[in-house]
Amino acid sequence: MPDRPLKRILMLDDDPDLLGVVVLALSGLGGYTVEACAFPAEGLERARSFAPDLILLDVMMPGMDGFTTLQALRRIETTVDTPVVLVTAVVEPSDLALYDELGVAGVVPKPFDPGTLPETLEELWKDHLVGRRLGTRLAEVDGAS
Amino acid sequence: MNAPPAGLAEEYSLALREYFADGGEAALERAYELGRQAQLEGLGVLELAALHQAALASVLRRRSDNAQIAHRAAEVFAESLAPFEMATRRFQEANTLLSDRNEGLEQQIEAARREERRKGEFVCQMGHEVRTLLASVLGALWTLESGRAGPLSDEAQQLAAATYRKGQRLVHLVNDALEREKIESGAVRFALRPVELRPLLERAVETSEPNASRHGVALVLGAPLSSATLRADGERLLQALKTLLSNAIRFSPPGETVVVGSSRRGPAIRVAVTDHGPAIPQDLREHVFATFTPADPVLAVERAGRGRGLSTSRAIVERLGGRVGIDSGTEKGTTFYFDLPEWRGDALTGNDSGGARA
Repeated sequence: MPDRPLKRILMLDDDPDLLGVVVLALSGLGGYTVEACAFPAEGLERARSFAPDLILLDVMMPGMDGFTTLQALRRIETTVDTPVVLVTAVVEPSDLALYDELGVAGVVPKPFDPGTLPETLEELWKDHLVGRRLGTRLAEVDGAS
Repeated sequence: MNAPPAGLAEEYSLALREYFADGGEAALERAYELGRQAQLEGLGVLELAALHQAALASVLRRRSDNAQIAHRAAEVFAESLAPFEMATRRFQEANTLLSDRNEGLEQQIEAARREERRKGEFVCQMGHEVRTLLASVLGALWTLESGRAGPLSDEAQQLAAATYRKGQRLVHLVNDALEREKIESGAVRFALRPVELRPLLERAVETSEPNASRHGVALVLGAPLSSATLRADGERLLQALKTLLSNAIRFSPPGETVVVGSSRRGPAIRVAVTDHGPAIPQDLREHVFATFTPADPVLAVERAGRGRGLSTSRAIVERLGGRVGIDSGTEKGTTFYFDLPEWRGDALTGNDSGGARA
């Protein structure tokens, strides 16, 4: 498969402040086209028309949690096999095992460094292109020594 | 079991009959002696009971005032059985008391376990909530500091940068608390295996090298003990050792060295990390590895430049059956160490269950 570049990113998270930061970091630093949505139902509609290359998905959202949203995304033609990266503070080993079973492309633990988020996503994107998924890949926790 | 000697049963019956026919104490004594003789012959309890029963039956067959005799016989039996009954009753009472106490203890243990689980769940939930909120807070600070929300005055920019760094320290604290909780609650399984000391120290130094050079600190591996093997979980121990190294590096003045050494201490092997950072005052040392963080001493420890992640290291070392300690303010500098049991090939075969609390 030729190396298709990562261009369009959709982020679903119920925290509008965090969405603002991520949009700034990804569009400003990474030069991506970014859509962000704080409501899962609305996000699903957006996913249909936006056809993202990659989706950043919060796990704990009121109304519709990340897992239900993920299932719904898999039923939408434009996102049926779009790589989904979970962005969550819940990254215990048992949770990671569950995420892996769900077939997500990676996990970005909250909190993360917005400055290095584009690099992190590029790495996960590369892994996705070569079909590499040896267990859920956990991005480095920001600042961990 | 033996049968009563011939004639003994007959004599015994005769003595009892005499006694009940107002034969007086002499007849009763003779019956008693015959009863003892039967015991000495090695008769079992059932045979003795059968002997008494047969004798009483013979008395009853010969007397008209059977009711009175039966009543008397019952009294004799009741009196002789009384001590047994009392003993049995006391035994039952003691048994009931013990079982009540046992139940009480079990309830207390169960309540303590529930409380421990509740505490663990609380720490986890709180940790996740705090990390979620910190994502927003740090994100906003990053936006300010990086100038993406518009230009800031120098002073405001410095303030945002300093606050961002403090936020990251908060992340470390929360991560540390979550990690420690997992280790202490047994949620993390430890695989105890023979761990060769030398490669372990080399790996720790190698992986800490980039961090050391960023701080302008030289890492030196002292001559490790020859053929020393620890009884430990290699990956977890490496994590604890890297934390000691990370602390030593962070608080060493640039140009200084951090030395990783090892020695034998009785049955244990000591791994020590020595730096030339600020000494830790005697009264703060006990707080450096503290699980609980009474605010003032720990703040002081943090200000003295120590303490990050060390409570997790202690939890790991203690789960491995070792202990941690500090020597500070000596000419050599400050040494953080842990003593761990040496591997004895035949003493251990498997894995830690993961459930035990240190």
